[in-house]
This record gives sequence, C-alpha cells and structure tokens, in this order.
Amino acid sequence: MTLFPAWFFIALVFCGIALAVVSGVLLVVLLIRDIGGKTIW
Amino acid sequence: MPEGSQVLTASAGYTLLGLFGVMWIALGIYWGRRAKSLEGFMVAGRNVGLALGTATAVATWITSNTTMLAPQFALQLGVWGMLAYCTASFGLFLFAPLAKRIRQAMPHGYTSVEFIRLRYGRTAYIVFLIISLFYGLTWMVSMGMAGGILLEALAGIPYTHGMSAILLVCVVYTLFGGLFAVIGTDYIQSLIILVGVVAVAIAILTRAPLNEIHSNLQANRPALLNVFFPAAIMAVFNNLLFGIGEIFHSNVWWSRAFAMREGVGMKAYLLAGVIWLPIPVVAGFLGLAAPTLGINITRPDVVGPLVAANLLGYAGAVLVFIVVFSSLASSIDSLLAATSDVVTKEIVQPLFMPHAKDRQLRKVAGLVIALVGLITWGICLPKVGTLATVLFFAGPLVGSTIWPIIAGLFLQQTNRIGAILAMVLGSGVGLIAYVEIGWYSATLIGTAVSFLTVAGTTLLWPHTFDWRILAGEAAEV
Repeated sequence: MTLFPAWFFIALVFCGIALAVVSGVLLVVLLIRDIGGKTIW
Repeated sequence: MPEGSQVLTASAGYTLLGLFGVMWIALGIYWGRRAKSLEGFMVAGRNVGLALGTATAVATWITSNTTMLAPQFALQLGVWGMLAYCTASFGLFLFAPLAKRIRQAMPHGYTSVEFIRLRYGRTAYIVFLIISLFYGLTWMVSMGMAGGILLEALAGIPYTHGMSAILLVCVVYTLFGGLFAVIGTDYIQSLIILVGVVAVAIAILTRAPLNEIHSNLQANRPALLNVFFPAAIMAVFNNLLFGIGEIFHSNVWWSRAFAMREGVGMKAYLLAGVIWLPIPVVAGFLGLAAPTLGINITRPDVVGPLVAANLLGYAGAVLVFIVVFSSLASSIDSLLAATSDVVTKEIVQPLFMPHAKDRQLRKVAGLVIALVGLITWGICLPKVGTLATVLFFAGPLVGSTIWPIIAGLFLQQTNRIGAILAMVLGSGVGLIAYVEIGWYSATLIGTAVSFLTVAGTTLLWPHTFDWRILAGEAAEV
C-alpha cells in the first residue's frame, strides 16, 4: 500500500490553515477598502 | 454537564440560539430598510461590492455539511476524503466567468429560470423549473433537518424545537431584509466560520504535532493515508460534477451574479473559491486527529464537535455551536430568497399577475418566503431519514443542466431542442445509472449524456440566437 508521505500531510494541513487565516484577513481588508471607497453596496 | 455525546447543555444551546437569532433578525430589519423596491429586495440593488460579494458566495457554499461532514469524511475516507470535499470549490471557480457573462448579458435579469425561458423557450423553462424547484426544496429541507438533528446532537435541544427555531429565524430576517439581509449576515457568518475552524485546528496542533498524527495513522489506520483509495477517488469526480451542477443551475448563485456590481462578479467568485478551498481540509483534519488525541468517537457525524469540546472545553463547544448555526443560516436564508425570486417572477407573475407593479411583486415575494419556509417546516417535521439519498438523486438532474447553461450563455448556435433533450436525456440516463450502477456514477453519466446531446445538436442544427432577447432589448421568439 502506497501511503501519503508525512511531508505531504503536513504541507496540506499547514497550507489549509494558512490559507484560511489569510482568507479571513482578506475579507476584512476588502470590507475596509469597500467602506472607504463607499462601494460596499 | 451535558449527557451522552452532547457537548453543550440544552439551556446553553437555547441561550445561544436566542442570542444569535435575535442578532440576525435585528440585522435583517436594519439592512431591510434598503430593500423597499423589488430590485432591492431580490437582487440587493445590483450594486454589491467585492467584500460582501465574495463573503456571500463563501458563506452560502459552507453548509452544515462542510463543517460537520468534512471531519466524518476524513475519518472514513482519509486524506482523499478531505481532497474530495475540496473539489466542491471548483464550482465557484468555474462559475466566475459565467457570473461575468450573466451580468453583461442580462443587466436587468432576476433568475436562472428567466434565462432558460428567454434563451430556450417555454418547454425548456418547464423542465428547468421542475429541476430547479426540486433541487432547491430538497437542499432546503435537508438543511432544515440537519439543523434539528445537529442542535439535538450538540446540545440536546429536541429536534422539532431546533429545526423550527432555525427556520423561523431565517424566514423572519429574509422576509424583512431580502437579499440585503442575506448578503449582510453572510459576511458575518463567513468570518465566524473561518475563525471557528482555524481556532480549533490550532488548538489541535498545540496538543498533537502533525508528524505524530501521521505516524499514528500510519501505524493504526494506514488505509486513511492510502494514495490509491478507490472509493474515495471515485467520490472525487462525482462530488466535482455535482458541485458544478448545483452552482451553475441554481438561482442562489445567479441572484448573486445579478446583485454584484458590474465588474465584481468574476473576481468575487474566484476569490470565494480560494477562500472556500481550505475549509474541508481544516475541518477534515479534526477527524484525522481524533485517534491521536485519544478521543473516543461514539458518533462519527459529530466527530468535529467532540474534538473541539475535548480540546477547548466549554468555550470550544460554544464555538462549534455558533459555527454550525452560522453555516446553517447562511445556506437556508439564501435558498429562501432564491426560491422566492423564482416562484414570484417565474410562476406567480406570468400566471396570476402579468401586469403587476414592482411594489406588488415585492409584497408577493415576502409572502412566498413565508410560504416556502412553512412548506419546508412541514416536510422537515416527520424527520424523514432518507433525505440525503434524495439530495444525491438530484445529482444527475442538476448535472444535466450544466451544458445547456454554458452553451446557452456563450454560443449563439445552441438550439432549444438540443437544450431540452440534454436536460431530459441527461437526467433520465443519469437516474438509470444511479439505480443500476451506483450514486457515484449518476452525475458523471448524466452530465456526459447532456454534453453529447448539446454538442451534437449544436453541430447538426445550428441556430442563431439574438442576444438582445436576454437583455430585454428584443422580443422573445
């Protein structure tokens, strides 16, 4: 049985968490930008 | 302390339900001040910016399944389970160019059903309407039932109470605020979900390093790390196409394309795909970490909350409850609004109120939301346990609409007979595959038949569609 190596598993989870954190920050930044530009809706 | 597999006491559950319910309703009423006109109520004034546009797509696509089923998927199908779930984000990525085209082609449009009617005529409209309403209602009922079941599992709140409370809260704030309320609350809900899943994942990392989790899986459950896990690999393709079909045809996503400001839709859907992509990995990781953390999983469907409550105690349990409530509300409100738009604009108006003013239709849309909520509640009440199967049944139906929609938006040559045949044959053959082969093949086969039909009829009998019909600048033929 060929298994996913540890480095792949670690990279997958770390990238997932990092992307989720960046996503949250990005949503806040986009909202601030839209509020500033009065383009929220 | 809660009993059994529950992670919260019932009184804490009711308190959270009350607090968040009141908050969503208050926000819905506040934002609803903008939703006086029909255009405001149904498509949020067609001026939604990038932040809210992105967040609403993310929050709507994060259903309770994403936060609750992803850990279970990982626990049962391993790394491939997480990856299979991630493919659902492809629907958002691929819808991005369609969102741009929809906004350009139909600057005054309201629904996906309207597009099919204008593009392919009355028979295609009826077939598509049936598929659309069947899917919408099935998804909504499955979310309502999931709400009742999850609140019962998390806090011991009786199924009927939890299901009714969630539906009532969503109906009330959608009724007052229309798409403004839906999109506004979606923004807050998407942030809550992101913070919740990241907090729990980081808490796990502080207790169990990733290499330790990997070693434990390798020693005790190597199948979960298997690169060639046939059942999971098959699920990848079915999930991928089911997700694309769900997004491409459903008015939930079309109404957002109409609501976003010119030039925003494509960016918003691409960003939403990127933001949604890691959620199944982060949530699924909870399931894989459970054995290493020594947590006894008595119920695989609540593995996520069990891990969170074990690691973060009462605060973790509260966090999970809020995340689940947010992911349920963000999908139910969208479905209520989108279904109401279709029923009001494509059934009530043409059949009963052809000369109605926008002001009258705005009132009808509100009544339809209440009615759809009531019907959903009535179907949810008996707690039919086989509804997940019914939702999978919708796979080939929605898969069969993918190609008529893509070709209809971008090719003048695709004709109405081809589109009707594609939806009917794709659905029919897909359902036969569902029964004869298995659920995992149904969407794949239905979509393939639909593609061949659209491609064949477009090449054999090319038509020249007048794009001005979609923009309302030329009469329907």
